[in-house]
Amino acid sequence: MLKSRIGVAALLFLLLTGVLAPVSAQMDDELTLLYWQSASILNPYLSGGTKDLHAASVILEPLARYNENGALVPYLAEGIPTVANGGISEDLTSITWTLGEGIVWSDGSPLTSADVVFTWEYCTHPEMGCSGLSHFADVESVEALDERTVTVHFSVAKPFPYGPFVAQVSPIIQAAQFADCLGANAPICTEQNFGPIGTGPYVVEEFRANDVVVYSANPNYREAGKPYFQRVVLKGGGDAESAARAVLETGEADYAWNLQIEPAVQGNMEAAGFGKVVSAFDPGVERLILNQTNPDPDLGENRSVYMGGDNAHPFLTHDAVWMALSKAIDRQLIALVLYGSGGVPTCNILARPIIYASTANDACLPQDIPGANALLDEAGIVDSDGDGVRELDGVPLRILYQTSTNAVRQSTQALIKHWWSRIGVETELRNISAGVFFGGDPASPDTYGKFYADIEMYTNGFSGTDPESYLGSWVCSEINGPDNNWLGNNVPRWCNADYEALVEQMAQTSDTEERIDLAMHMNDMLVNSGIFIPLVDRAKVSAHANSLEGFLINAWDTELWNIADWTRAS
Amino acid sequence: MGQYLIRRLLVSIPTLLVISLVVFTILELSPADPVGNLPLTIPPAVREQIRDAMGVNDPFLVKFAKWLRQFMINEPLNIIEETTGLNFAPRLSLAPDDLIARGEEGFDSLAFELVEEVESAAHSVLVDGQARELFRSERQFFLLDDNSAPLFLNETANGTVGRELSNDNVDVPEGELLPLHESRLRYLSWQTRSPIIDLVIERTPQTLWVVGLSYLAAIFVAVPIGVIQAYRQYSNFDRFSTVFATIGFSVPTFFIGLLFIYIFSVQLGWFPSIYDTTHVVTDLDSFLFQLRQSIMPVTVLALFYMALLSRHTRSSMLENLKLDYVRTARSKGIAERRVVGHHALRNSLIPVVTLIALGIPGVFQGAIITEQIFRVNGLGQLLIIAIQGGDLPTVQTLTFIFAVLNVFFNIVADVLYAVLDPRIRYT
Repeated sequence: MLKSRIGVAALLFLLLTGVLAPVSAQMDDELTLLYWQSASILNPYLSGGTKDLHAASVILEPLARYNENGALVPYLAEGIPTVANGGISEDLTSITWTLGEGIVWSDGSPLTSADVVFTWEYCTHPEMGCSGLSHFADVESVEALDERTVTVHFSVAKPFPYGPFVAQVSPIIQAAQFADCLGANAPICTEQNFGPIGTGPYVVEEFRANDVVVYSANPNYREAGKPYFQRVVLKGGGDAESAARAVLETGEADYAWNLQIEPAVQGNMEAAGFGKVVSAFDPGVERLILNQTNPDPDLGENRSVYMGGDNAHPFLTHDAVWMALSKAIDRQLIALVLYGSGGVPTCNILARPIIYASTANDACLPQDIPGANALLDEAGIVDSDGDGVRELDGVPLRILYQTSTNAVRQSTQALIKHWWSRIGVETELRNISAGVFFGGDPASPDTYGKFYADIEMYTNGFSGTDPESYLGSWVCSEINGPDNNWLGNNVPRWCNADYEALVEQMAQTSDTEERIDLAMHMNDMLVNSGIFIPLVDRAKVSAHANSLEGFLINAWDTELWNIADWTRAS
Repeated sequence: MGQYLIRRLLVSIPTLLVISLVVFTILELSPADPVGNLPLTIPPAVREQIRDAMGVNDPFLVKFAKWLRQFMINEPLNIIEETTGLNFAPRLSLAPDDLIARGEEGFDSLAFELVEEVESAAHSVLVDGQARELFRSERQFFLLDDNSAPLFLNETANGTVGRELSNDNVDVPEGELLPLHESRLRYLSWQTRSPIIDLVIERTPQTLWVVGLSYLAAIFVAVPIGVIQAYRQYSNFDRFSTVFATIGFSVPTFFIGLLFIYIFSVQLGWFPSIYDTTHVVTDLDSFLFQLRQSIMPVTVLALFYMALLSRHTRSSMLENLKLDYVRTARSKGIAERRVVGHHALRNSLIPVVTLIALGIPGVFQGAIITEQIFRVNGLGQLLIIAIQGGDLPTVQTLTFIFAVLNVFFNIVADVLYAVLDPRIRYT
């Protein structure tokens, strides 16, 4: 009896010492990436979610990527075609890419222009439902001139022809592998979608959807001696804060993506000495959108519907009102307290790339509540019935202000509601689950596109560095309404002939300087028309281990864009 | 008893059908959109195309019929076929006109054009006027020529015959060539575009290991605690355990989980806070690692189950200890150990066992919060991600599987009750 007890105790002790041995230090040539939203699929054309684009980007590569400064660098292409080097035709309707010499797929077969042509056919197949379709907008045909040369023909002049086959959103897939996956067959090709053959530094070793991707180094990668890390684990799940903790406080992971950490907590975490938080500004701007149409529920079917000049919003279209609403907001405080390293205050809708940022509107930065009150008083918008709320032509300034459910957004709402109460505007707050709010169900009254509210708030921007299509969103034909199932791009329902003319002009301007001037002008017009109140210029925030070298955060492409160059400090 | 069982099982079929219809209707009415979480840089028109391709915009009845057919019929058949090697699917047949032989010199230079999905009666294919039976191996179709040399066509995933046939690189496949059958459409998730059943199978092990282990641990600890508590009612041990159980039951698992991570991962560095689902146990070291990474999630969950079970054991035991048969046993001079451990405990366990059986479906459902905190990524996490992502097929499938388990273990609990308590008889 005693003996067996000693035996049991000894066994327990052994187990305990084994179990309690310190968490082993990271293996030198293994890299751990943490994504709190896990990758669902490794085919970027079937998902479009940023997490999936990143997870696929270490396998599949485009012809060119944006580097950390937003400049195009060739990946599979030999160089960047321009008008000057003859790669882009004089009339701007075609661009010719030359593939780098001797590039092979991870299975050893050569990369050819047929693969590029196939990628276009794959994504533009009418039954496909390709998430990257907009990057092939206006592409008439893609033509293989020889094994290594391919020309993209556009139906219109494209001053910025770097949409197709550029950046994480439009990589090249292997024709041989996806030949049977065209159109309606695309989703059922699980084997291909979970293990695409690529040209990138890594190949999929194991993929568990919505959980983890294990990659190993691609033996056929074009650069000798790269990548440094032989094995990469991209682990998903959990939440942003615990992901930050795993990099900054426990050192269990080398990199964590998309963090929104409270500024106060961030300092404490970094103090542990395992890693640091880095950020990079992309074109995303958190803004208020002001409904130009009347969202009154009594209007029934005509609620929030643009009807020429009729059915206008009862007070938001009045200049004094939106100016006062903007003046009353302390953007600096919102950015400092709620966003920390994740944002800076802005007065522009187009804030990045920085060369496009207008300085004409910076007067909005300091908060001016007395000024806002004076503005409303002068316009005769006063509280005539003594209930603390101002009226315009008998309509009280009562605002329904909606956004998606998210801690930072709800804090922003609360602050803004408070400031607006000080200028005699009553605000009702509403938040809607992100999956519903950003969804497109035409039957749902709660989507951002339907806009059954006076004001809503979210972040929008564009991918890549060219703002043309982004600025082209607010044309009359894109106004959301029942005729397009509320699936337009012009959410504020704003129609302006002068702006329309500028959009036309942009499409025909190829000179960079002129484009910048034009874009700034359009931005100024947007923010001075009372359809947007820009709040915060947002940044991508990530954390990486101190021992990880070569990491360059990139706001214009996948953050794993240069993973082949990452190394570990000894 | 046998009759009773059969009756219960038969009744459960319409029950499950009604459950699946109700769940489906609720999900259909929910406004969650599977493309709602995509970046706004994807234009609304493209999103609409994605929705169309997923089948989100199909009418309700079409979606429900698809689910019934693909999940209730196709998937079970697939599983049966995979395990038994039989094949129930009709042989894929192609109408002779669907194949266009472009080559001239017999089989060596044949090429085939793309043909549509066909369901005509012919079991074989006419090539150059000769009937050839189709065979398959892995993902390729074969036609055998007179010398049994294979000609191949590529298979597209839904059973149509692809277009390519290059005669110069025909690989002779190793192993047996199987006769060709129509392939069945599988029930796909909108998020991953992969068969949901595969996802469920992939995730069941880690859920069973973590949640199941904690359930077992809880049972083995909670029952003795409950017995001692009842036997020494109002003793210090009883009071302490009561407080402990109250804490375990009322403090949410996400709080205890975070506390554990803070103490054991951040401060002490003993256990990893990230669960490695790809870890394979091969030797003692890897087993120890598996233990180490499971300890925190298992303990957090076990605390919760333990609290529940120990309270039940205690109250049931208290009730029994007061009864006449215990007094009789004692008066007969039976040792105290036997009175408690044999007579009282056995009777007290009847309701506890039922409770345990009813809790087993919960083990399969995983623990949504605990799995999220420790990144165990089991069935609970799969469900919550699917709900957040508006992935209707996955939510529907998981809730249905859980419903089946619930119905099944309810029957098991009832049967167990009869087995344990001879006073109960089902007729």
